[in-house]
Amino acid sequence: MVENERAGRKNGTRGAVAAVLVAAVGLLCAVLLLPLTASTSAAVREITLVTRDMAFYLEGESEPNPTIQLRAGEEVRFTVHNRDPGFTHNLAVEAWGLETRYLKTEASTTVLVRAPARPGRQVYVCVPHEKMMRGIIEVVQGD
Amino acid sequence: MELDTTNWSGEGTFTQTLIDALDAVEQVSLLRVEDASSSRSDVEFNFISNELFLRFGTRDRQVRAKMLGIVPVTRTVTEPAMTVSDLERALCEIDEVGPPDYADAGMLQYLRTERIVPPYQTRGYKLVELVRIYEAGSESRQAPDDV
Repeated sequence: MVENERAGRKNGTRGAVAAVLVAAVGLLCAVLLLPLTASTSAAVREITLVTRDMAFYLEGESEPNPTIQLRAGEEVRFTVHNRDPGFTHNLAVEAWGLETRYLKTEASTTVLVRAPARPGRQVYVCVPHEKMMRGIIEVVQGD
Repeated sequence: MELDTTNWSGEGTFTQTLIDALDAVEQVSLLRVEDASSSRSDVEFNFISNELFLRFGTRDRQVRAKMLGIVPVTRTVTEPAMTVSDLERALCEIDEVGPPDYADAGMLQYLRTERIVPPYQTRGYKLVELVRIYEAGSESRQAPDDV
């Protein structure tokens, strides 16, 4: 009977140790994997450019042809929305070989790009109106 | 025609041409001219953007109807003497104006571009004039954040 009690206590201790081990492994996984999931959702930055009055604007802002700052290597999804009645616009960054299709009024398009790994400055334009619709994309050192 | 240019800098040759043309259209009773906030200039261009808000005069029209669905009566209905589409047609016939570059039910839009080369310069700059005509009371097509 005493032996049975000892055996029961032994089994209880083993169970507790196993539970602690499982919890520790779970915690370790959470600590390691959580940043990965967070960085995945934050990896693609959304930038919406609106074209109106023969200029680019960041959505909700009033500065024409603004300088857009990106981090080196950052992945960015540009959405271009043409709100200029009667004009066809697009977005092009020659240095990146990027050029969207031409957008009629109220049309929009999306393009996914990765900023260059090195800091620098590139010009973005609307090809048919490149004198007036021209701004700078500034790539800065990432964190 | 009543003309209000208090919010206009006076810039824009084609805008002045339009004002003169609208002055000759007798159905236009009021015209307000304003600088648009999108006007801007750079080394290679000068972008002038103006907005014209106009009100048409009214005319009375007799409409036959039946009171209580039985008794025939004639009612007088007051309505604008012109629509934006009518105005578009009227302006098309003026040589100095011609057809708009864009038009819809509430707006006529004209774009004029010209390269200006000042004396003793070789390249000059591009003068771009954008004029939008609206019926007074309709909303400007400028985005709300910069109106």
